[in-house]
Amino acid sequence: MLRTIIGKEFLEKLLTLRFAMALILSVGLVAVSAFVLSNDYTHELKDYNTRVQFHNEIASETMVIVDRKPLPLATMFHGIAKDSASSMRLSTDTYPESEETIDDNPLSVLFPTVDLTFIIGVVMSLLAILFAYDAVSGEREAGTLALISSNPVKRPMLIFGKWIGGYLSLILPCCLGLLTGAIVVSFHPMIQFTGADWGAFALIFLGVLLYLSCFFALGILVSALTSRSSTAVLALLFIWALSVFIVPNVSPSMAKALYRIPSFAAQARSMNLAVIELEQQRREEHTEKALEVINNRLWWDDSGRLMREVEERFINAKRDRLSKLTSDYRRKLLKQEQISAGIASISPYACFTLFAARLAGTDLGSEDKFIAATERYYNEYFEGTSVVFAPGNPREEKPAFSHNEPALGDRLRSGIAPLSILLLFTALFLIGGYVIFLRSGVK
Amino acid sequence: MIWLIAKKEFHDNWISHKITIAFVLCIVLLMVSLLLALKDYSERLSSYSLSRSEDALFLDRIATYTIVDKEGIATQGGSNIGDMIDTIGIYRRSVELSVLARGLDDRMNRPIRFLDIRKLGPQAEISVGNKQERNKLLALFPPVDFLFITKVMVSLLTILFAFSAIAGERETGTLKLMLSNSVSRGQLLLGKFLGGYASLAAPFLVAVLIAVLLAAFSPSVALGSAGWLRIALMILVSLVYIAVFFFIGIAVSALTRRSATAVLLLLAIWIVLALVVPNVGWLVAKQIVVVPSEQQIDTEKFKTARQIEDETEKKHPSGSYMPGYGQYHVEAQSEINQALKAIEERYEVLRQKRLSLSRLLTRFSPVSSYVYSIVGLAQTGIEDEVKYHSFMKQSQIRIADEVERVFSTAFSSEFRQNPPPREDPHAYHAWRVKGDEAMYDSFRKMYIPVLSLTFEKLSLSETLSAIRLDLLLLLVWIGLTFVSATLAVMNCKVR
Repeated sequence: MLRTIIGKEFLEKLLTLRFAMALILSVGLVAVSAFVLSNDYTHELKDYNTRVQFHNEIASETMVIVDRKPLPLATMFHGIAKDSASSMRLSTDTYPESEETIDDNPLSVLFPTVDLTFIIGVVMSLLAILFAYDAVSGEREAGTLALISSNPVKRPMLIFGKWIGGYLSLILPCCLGLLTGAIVVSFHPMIQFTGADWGAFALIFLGVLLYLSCFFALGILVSALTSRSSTAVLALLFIWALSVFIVPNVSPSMAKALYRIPSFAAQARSMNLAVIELEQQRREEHTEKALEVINNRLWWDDSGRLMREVEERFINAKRDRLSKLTSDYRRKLLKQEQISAGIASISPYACFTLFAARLAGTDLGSEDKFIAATERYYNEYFEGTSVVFAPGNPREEKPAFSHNEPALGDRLRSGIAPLSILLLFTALFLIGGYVIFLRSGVK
Repeated sequence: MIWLIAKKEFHDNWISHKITIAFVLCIVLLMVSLLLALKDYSERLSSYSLSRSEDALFLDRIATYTIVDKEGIATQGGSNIGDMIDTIGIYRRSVELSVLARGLDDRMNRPIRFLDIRKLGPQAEISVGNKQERNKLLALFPPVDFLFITKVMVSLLTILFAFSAIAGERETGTLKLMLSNSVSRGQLLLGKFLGGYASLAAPFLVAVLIAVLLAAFSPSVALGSAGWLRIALMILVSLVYIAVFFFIGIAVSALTRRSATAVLLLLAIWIVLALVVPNVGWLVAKQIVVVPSEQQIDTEKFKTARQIEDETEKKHPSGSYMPGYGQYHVEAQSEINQALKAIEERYEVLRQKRLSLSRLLTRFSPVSSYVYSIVGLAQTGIEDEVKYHSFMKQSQIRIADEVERVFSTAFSSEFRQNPPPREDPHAYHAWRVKGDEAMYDSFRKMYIPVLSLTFEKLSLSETLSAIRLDLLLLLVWIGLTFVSATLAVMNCKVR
């Protein structure tokens, strides 16, 4: 009996225009965006190579710029990739700073580019809702629920059939869409996904299945609650809007309220004050040394050496102090971001976005690892360099910068948390739907 | 009869709680987004004033110090102006209406700093802030403003109000009942539209007014009468936008047999209009008008500068040659600057062409026209950015002129003329100190035009003329969708 019901639900959805539309939407959107984003990736890779070459040319004893290689999955699942540091300028007289690039396209702000996170997170979840909203209430309106229930069909069997049949008919177009995307990417002439990349993609795919089941279960739950489908769909839209727009956007403010850190301007102020203090110190030392030179009638190179020492002390002190202030601040920001992610996890959409970003390596944690690597490289590169350039020093061979993005296992570990919350939500909605359907009326 | 149908439609929506849900959705979204936006706006304002007072602090850092030897004779003095000048910045205050439509406001708010006082004049480079200063928390989940809510949520809401307008009645059998009586199809269409549109526009309008009044009572926002007029226009344009989608909803509803199909078809249309067309516009324009990336332009500039330096080195060898943007060949300076300027201008023209082409292509969707109109009214649109850039350039030239003037007069000022005889060390010392102080005083005065910069914004009439094409397009869209809805209803099947 269960198999019959599943079959009926599945075929009912399949043989309608509804399924065709879902298929066209999924496959069309995913295929097109996979194609476009792959091209974007190749451009970024080309840009990266040009940049690395350029930076190699202009590297000197006292300054070097390091770049982060664009991740293959970053263009598909943006995360914070567009806003994160991709080049860091390291110089002896200041702390590592990220190189800024000006985005010359205002339209990318007005119409944000659509990546797979968006298509799956927003469009496919809407599809899930639109597949589920009339599962129970539609049958109620058409009168067929009363018909079925008056026959010897157990209620649990009915709801299981609806879940499984409907879910299968939903994920069929979505899977086909993602598969098409994967095919488009693998056949792109210039993209080489490694084994780890495909692994991450497969794991994200599993996350997609879970995410869609979450919204589908929610749809059936609401459908069982309401008597009219048109009300059901609006209520679902409301919950969906809360999940996609409200909760994730409120979370940064709540995190800021819970864990206060000074604003960027205040941070800049404390850095300025530190520099003023150090400059005052330098001035005093300078005066002292100058008097020493005058009063002892020292030779030219002795005085030069003394002055250089003062300068070196100043530059080192300034750099160390500013580095410490910056990394302290960055640590605080990271903690705040983690709190915000935690609060946002109330929303299934946020859970999915975080999961995808962590697996694709476009979350704040990955950026932080890159910045930490640049700091280590900074010490390595400038070891033994005099900060004040003395002409005549031969240019030594410097070690090259290499940074490996975290392995798949680590990324999965950081992504387990949002995934489990998603699982929890799905279980909750399934149980809720079960209970409500068992007690609900037939018309 | 139209009025009857409209009343019935409204009543039906009320009974089935659709109006309540729509109202709750709108009010929750708008209130939350507006509260967050206001909080963020006041933070931005305090950052702005803090940064400006910071820079005033810097003027005091330009200090003189003199070293005095055993006989009380001054021998050295000075301070490092270059270090300090790097940190003086030009800041722009956010516009108030950015709480409603963020638009391009963030791009116009990055502080602009002068780099390297050695490069004076029109080629003074400006650095554009630091990526570390941007709030990463907002990158994953971009803030939701009024524009976004209306553009996305309310249009989705409209679709979900309208999809069962005709198809639902067809499914329950009441459509053929109505039409077999003395209700004409035209009356049906207008009645459905009036009733349905009112049941959506009313909660939306009430929610917006409540939210806007809340904003008005916020301490950090001070709207003049022009500001209120802009808000009123924004609301009006939004109502037109909702009507467009409502007509599309009715048209599709009339054409499909089942309402479940109608809703999916409408979702597909919404996706095409809201996501595909705007994105495609930019992509296609990128293919047609090819502009190399920022990186490639930088590389080209560097290579050109290096080439000119190499040539100059060949003609007049200087001994210790180090390549780097003309730093060591002062005589080649102006030639390099002209070449770099020519490169920049060439690419600027291309960029402009690409931008206007992509704007044209995006206008195939009412969503794009809506976005352009609203950001224009909120003073955070593309034309506002253009004005910002041109104002920036003018100020840069003005300030650079000022800086050059100060430098040239400082070294030839009266305080440097007629040194007293060296035999009188104390008078000499006093003369030196006076000269240094006067010089640093004029350097300090150099920053006053920088610190007092206030940005001019587009006036209401300028805004309206900038967005008139998009407003016109929205009217065209309403006409088009109305016609298609009429045709669909006139020719639709009854069962």
